[in-house]
Formats: sequence, C-alpha cells, structure tokens
Amino acid sequence: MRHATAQGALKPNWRIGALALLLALALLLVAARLFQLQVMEHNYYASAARENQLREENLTSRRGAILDRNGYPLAVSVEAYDVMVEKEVWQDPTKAAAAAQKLVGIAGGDAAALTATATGSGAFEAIVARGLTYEQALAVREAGLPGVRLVEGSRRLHPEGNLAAQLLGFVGLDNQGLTGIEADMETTLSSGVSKRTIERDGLGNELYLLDVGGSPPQPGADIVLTIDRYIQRLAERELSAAVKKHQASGGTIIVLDVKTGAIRAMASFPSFDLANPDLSDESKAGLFRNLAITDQYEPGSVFKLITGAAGFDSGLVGPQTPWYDSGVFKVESSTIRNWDLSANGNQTVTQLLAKSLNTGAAWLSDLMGPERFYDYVARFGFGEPTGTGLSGEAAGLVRTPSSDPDGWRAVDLATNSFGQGLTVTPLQMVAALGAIANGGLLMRPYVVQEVIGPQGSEIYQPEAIRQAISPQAARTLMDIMAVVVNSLTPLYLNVPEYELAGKTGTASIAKGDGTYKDTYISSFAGVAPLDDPSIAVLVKIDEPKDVPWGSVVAAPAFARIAKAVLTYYNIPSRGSE
Amino acid sequence: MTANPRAARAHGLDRLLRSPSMPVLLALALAAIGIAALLPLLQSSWATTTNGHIHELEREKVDWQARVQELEASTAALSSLDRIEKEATDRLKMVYPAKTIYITVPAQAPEEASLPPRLLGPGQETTPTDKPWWERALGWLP
Repeated sequence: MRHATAQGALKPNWRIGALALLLALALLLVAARLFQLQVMEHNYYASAARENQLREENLTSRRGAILDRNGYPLAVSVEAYDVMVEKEVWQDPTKAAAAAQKLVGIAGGDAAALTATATGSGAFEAIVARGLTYEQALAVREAGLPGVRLVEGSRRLHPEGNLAAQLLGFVGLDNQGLTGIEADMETTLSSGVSKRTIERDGLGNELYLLDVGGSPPQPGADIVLTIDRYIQRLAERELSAAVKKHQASGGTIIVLDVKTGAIRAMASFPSFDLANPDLSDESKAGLFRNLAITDQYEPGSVFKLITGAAGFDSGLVGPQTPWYDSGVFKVESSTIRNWDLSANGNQTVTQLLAKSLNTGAAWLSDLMGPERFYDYVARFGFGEPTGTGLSGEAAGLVRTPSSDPDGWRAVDLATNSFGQGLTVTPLQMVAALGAIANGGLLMRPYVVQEVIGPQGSEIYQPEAIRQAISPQAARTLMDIMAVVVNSLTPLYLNVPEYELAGKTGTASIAKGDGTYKDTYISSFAGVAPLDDPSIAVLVKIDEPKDVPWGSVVAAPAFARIAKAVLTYYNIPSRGSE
Repeated sequence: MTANPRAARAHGLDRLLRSPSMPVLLALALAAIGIAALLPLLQSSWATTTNGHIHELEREKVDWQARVQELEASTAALSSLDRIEKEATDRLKMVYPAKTIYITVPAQAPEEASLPPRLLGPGQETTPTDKPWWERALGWLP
C-alpha cells in the first residue's frame, strides 16, 4: 500500500505536465511580446506616449503700442482669447449641444454652427471662437465646459479709430504686421514667439509634474511717432471735406515740421477700416498703400518754386529781374503757353511766380541750362526716396540728359520747369517746401520719434541732408510765396491772424502714352507762419470734378489747417497784445 | 579557566541577537529605509505642488496683466479725440471759438505733458538731486 502510494507521487501526471508547459509557453509569449514592445519598439511607443502627454503651446508677449508724439496711443494690444474645442469630447450630441449653447451665451454666434465647426474638424482640436475679451474668457473658464480650453493671444485696438490708417497699417490673425508701420517695424514691436511644453492627463487637463516649459519672450517695444493726433485728425477731416466738396477721386495732405523734418500728419483718401480691413477683395488692396509716399504725380506749378529757387540761388536772376512774356515760349518744334493762354508783356521774376506763368518758368530753365536745373532738382531730393524708413517709398521719375540721353529732349527741360513731365511723391514735394522754409536746409522727413523698449529708449534725432539753396535765396522765395498768398481771392485763403506763404498747383494727369487726361490734380503747398516758419503743408486733391484750380480746391484746406495748427502750437497771432 | 575565544564571540553574538533591543533596532532600520525610500516621492510631490502653485500664480499674473491692459485700452478710448469732442459738444454744450485772442502774460509756460510712466524708459526717470537739500534731508525721516 505504501509502495503504491510512493510510486504514484513520484510519477507526475501528464496532464499537469502539459498545463505547466502551456503556462510556460504563454509566459514565454508574454515575455517575448514585452521584449518587442519595451525593447525593440521602445522609441516608437515612447514618442507616442510623449505625444499624448505633452503639448506644445506658443507663448507670445505683448505687442508694443504705437503712440503719437505726445504719448497718446494710436494702436495698442490687449489680451484676447481663442476658444478651442476637443473634437472627441464633443462626440455626444446632447452634451455638445448643451456646451455649445453655454459657449454661445458668452461669446456669441450660432450654437449649431459652432458645434459643426468643433465636430467637423479633421484635427484633434478646432478653434470655435476668436478674440474673446478678458471678461468673456473669464466666463468661459468659470463655466468649466468639457473639452473646451482657452488659448491666450492678443487683439489690436485703435483708440482713435481709423486715424492714420495707411501709415499705421494692420496685423494679421497671427498678430504679425501686414502693412504700414506695423509691418515695417515688426521686429521692434514684437519680440517673436517662444514655445512652452506642458504635460497633461488623459482628459487633456494640464499637469504640473514636469517643468518643461519655456519662459515667455520679452514684451515688444513701444513706438512713438512724430505724428500728432490732433493735427492728423485735422488733416484727415479737411481732406475728407475737400474730396467730398469737389467730388474728387482722392487726395493727400502732409504736415511737416520744417525745422526738424518731423511729419506731424500724413493723411490719404480713400482710406480703409483698420478694425476690419477687407483682404478678400484684391481691388481694394490699393487702399492699404500709403499714398503719401507711394503715389507719384506730376506736381504742376508748385514745382515752379524749385525753378525759382535754382534761379535765385545760382545768382542768374533776382526777384526784380525783368523778362518779356509774349505768351508763347518755343522749344524746338514745341510751343509752351500759359495756363490761361495769356501774354503778359513786361514782367519780373516775382510776377512769374505770383502769376504762375509757364512761359516764364520755361524761360528761366532755359537761362540756367539743363545741367544746373537738374542739379537743383536733385539737391531738393527729387528722383530718390526721402529715406523715412517706410517701405514702398517711390523715388519719383526725373529724366535728365545724363540719366536718359536717348529719351530726354530739350522740351523736357521746359515742361519740367513748371512741374510737368516729371513725377514726385507728395512727401518729396513737402520736404522740398520745408527746405525753402528752413533757410534752404533740406531735412530728412521722419516719422518715428522714439522707440521705448524693455531695456531703455532710443530717440531718433532730426537729420539734415544738405543745404539745397542759400538762406538768402530761401528768404526771397518765402517773400514771393507770401505775395502769392496775398494775391489769392480772400474767399479761398483768408487768415488775417497769421501771415502765410504758399504756391498753388494745377497739374494735368498723364495717361502713360504721352498724352494727358481731361482731369487734374489740384494742390497747394504752403508754409506758416511767414516770419519764423513752423510748418509746411501740402494739400493735394486728385481729379476734382467741379473746378481744377489749386487756389479754389486745395488752398482753403491749407488755410484752415495752418490757422488751427498755429493756434494749437500757441503761436501768437498778428496784433496780439 | 582559559575560555575559547571563538566560543566567547559566538556567545556574545548570540546574546546580542537574543537581547530585547535587537528587534527594535531592526524595526527602526527598516522604518528608516522605508522613510528614505519615501523621501524622493515626497520631494516629487512637493515639487509638483510647488510647480502647481507657480503655474497658478503665473495664471493670476496673466489675468492681472489682462485686466491692466483692458484698463489701459479703456483709458485710451476715453481720451480719444472723437470722444472728447462728443462729450464737449453733446454733454457740455461747448462750441468752437469764433476767435482766439492771445494775451502775453509775464509767467512761465506750464511744463509739457510727458509720456505716461509706463512708456518712459529707465533713463528718463527724474533723480532726487533735483530737489533742494532740506527736502532731500526730510526724505530720510521715517
């Protein structure tokens, strides 16, 4: 009995053996699989796990503000929030509808559309609302909606509305400047984007187990412009009123500080809505251009100031130098006539400019010869960008015998002398006018006064380019410009409080095929006050429908601007106690 | 009389093991090892908690910054020329002057309005040396 039992214990049951073998095989399989997952495919699964746990977020800093010269903000950034919805969490239609309803109650919009955006996205998350204010974001956060998270960003605000729209420009959805100062000074206003990595749990909630984040970049620098919001607004209002009154197609007004070259106002019409620039319509892209620097036009009679300056500075003529106006001036086969086809007989150079006689300007340029005339044109900065630092600035077109020996003809000298056959930008024209008012010293126009960054500020100093003409020649011209103003009908230019100086311009518009349109550009280039000039103003109105004369269309706007600015500057009027 | 030294050492070890303090010592050692093993866990927990607090404070800072920016934007909107003109003409019934009269007075002009402090660079702050000595001396008082 004992023997049998002992024998049974020693002989293992084959079933147990098979089971053990199976278990061993299963364990071996598990071990092999674990080896495959944890050793052979370690990198793949490790990265997949990290991808699930970690998420990269962009960290943006505050974009710098754009301020006027007195520190009033023209463009500022405030925190704004985009609402992201995780697609998987909103798969349950009932819960999604409830969450969407709450979200719409805070951010506005349509609940059905919002749900469709969230669930129809091909990505893990979808942006369902943009640019929420801080208060709205707070409400969304407190609502604790499933699958909803907020992404911080910023929104550009313009406290002065559309003031200086073309100059300031606008930013895109990615907060990058697209036009104007916003684009030109992108690297100054914005210090870029840095990345931050956060860890999250299975529900997408942020965990704080790892400090794998980055630090936010430094805030962008604030830019102080030379623009004065009061003068800018004044210029825009006057421009808008003049365009409306004369049914013009557009226009430009620039106000320049003659002593420094600082641009106090730069207004162009038509403009656009800074808050909602229409990028969908390509035909409206031209509205975003800063016409004061990109638009080239034939300046017309205003350019006679340059011809006169050249004549006085070269010593060839004086204000009382006589000449005879027969009403025509012949150059090769071409005949130059006055704008009113008049013949004025014995005249002086002062009368030439005061009456704006084309024949006289042609005579004077002929007296100087092309080399001397174009030398003065270049001295005033025509034919090259002024160097404000604003992008898209045109150089203007000045053909000279040396720059275009085949195309240039003798008649070009005559037509150029009264501002036809060459093109300039409004900024070039007002800068040249500023030089005459500044004793002949040409200053570089500039629009950025100061950059205030986190590490300190950088102040931009005025820069003299060159002495274009002598102070004596400049004074002579100023006196003649005062004669021009005094000879205008008081109905259009009457500012008894201040003594002003200026020159009218009425220019034909070239078609591009050598002929001219039936429409005109009316302009007035003025300086105020006469004794100690402070500002130079160019008013340019494109294609007025009623009358073409600069004295009627542009001079009244100059008069109102000059009076208001001088009052604003606290410059005492004539007869003050 | 002469005792075997090996036997004496074995006896001593046996006594030590049998002494009532040994289990206590072992338990203490085990507890110490256990606590030491827990330390990294505790440290990790504290680090996580601190990290959470930092994130919470950062969020709070961002919130305050957002509020400050909102207030700055509100201030800017309130000081806009359009609003000032509207308030002046609509609420205060003001009109533009027909004529501006200048009277020269023998007084110093007021200081020009400067930029808001936020926008001033570090180099533009006024120094206390501008003040008279007695005012600077008063500044030392608690």
